[in-house]
Amino acid sequence: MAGSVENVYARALFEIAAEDGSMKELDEELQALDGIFSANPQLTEILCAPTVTDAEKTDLIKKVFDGRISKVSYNFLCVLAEKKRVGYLTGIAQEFRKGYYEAAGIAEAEVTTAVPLKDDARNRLIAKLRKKYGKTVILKEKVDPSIIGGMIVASGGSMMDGSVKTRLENMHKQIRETVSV
Amino acid sequence: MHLNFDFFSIEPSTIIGVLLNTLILFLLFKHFLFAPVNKIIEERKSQVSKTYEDADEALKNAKNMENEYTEKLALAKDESAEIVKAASKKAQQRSDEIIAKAKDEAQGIVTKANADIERERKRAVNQIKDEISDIAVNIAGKVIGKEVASDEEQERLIDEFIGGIGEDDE
Repeated sequence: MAGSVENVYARALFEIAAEDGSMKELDEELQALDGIFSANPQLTEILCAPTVTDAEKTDLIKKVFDGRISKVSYNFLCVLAEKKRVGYLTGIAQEFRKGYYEAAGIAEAEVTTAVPLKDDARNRLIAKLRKKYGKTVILKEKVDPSIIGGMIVASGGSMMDGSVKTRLENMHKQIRETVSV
Repeated sequence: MHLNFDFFSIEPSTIIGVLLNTLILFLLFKHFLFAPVNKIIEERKSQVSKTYEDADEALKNAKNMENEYTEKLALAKDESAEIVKAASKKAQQRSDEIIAKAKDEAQGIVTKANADIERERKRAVNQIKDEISDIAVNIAGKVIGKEVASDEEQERLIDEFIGGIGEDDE
């Protein structure tokens, strides 16, 4: 569970986005911003540094982001910089996405496969999951050759594990339990 | 006939004289001889009788002492028999206790040793079995890894999984 700071900011953003119906766009922007800040830690450092003045921070944000992101995101960044809370961006983006998905009836499912998913399989998976969860499903795909084959789907608190690795592990466990004297 | 008893002539005065002499002599004897002798005899008599009495007393004492010693000896014998009996009983008890304790301890050691052996045996067997299962699963993993290396097999596994979604709920 994210801390209260993330919740407060995410809820504020959520209310603004709900008013003008820009929830999806704002979600995408927040994710993109999180990606940019994660990839450039020095940006976060500068925006959090006590030696840098608020004017300089605003100036930096203006130079980097003005015109490239929505007004809401831009103002939000300025507020975070002023409050020295740029470090909370990842948590806020996550909280926002959680709220957005909940409001829009979207379920995010993390899918792990040993080889990249093909279009046909992806579409069938989405259809099946939509039927199962009764929600629009967005897949977050991950390729992990260590699972050998099959697939792992994790969504919310539940997990479906059909990986060859897990089957082998289960078999191993079962053999060990069966043969123990 | 006349008898001439000159040499027997008895003169009454003589007779009286003799009698007086005899009386005097008797009195003298009586005074100077009989009384001391009698006294001496009496003394000897009483001495002897005292000696006898002492001897009797001593004998009596000796008898008493003998009885006493006999009694004491008998008592001492009884006591010593009692002491020996008690000591031997105590020793027997103690030896029984020691033996029982030793038996218990020996039994405990044997039981523990058996349990240790059994545990060790199980551990060893389990270890071997674990190793065998490790090897088996390792080999299985490698074989399966090679088998699923093909795209077709990967697709088949993915399709199988997707096909199974939601089936449990229906």
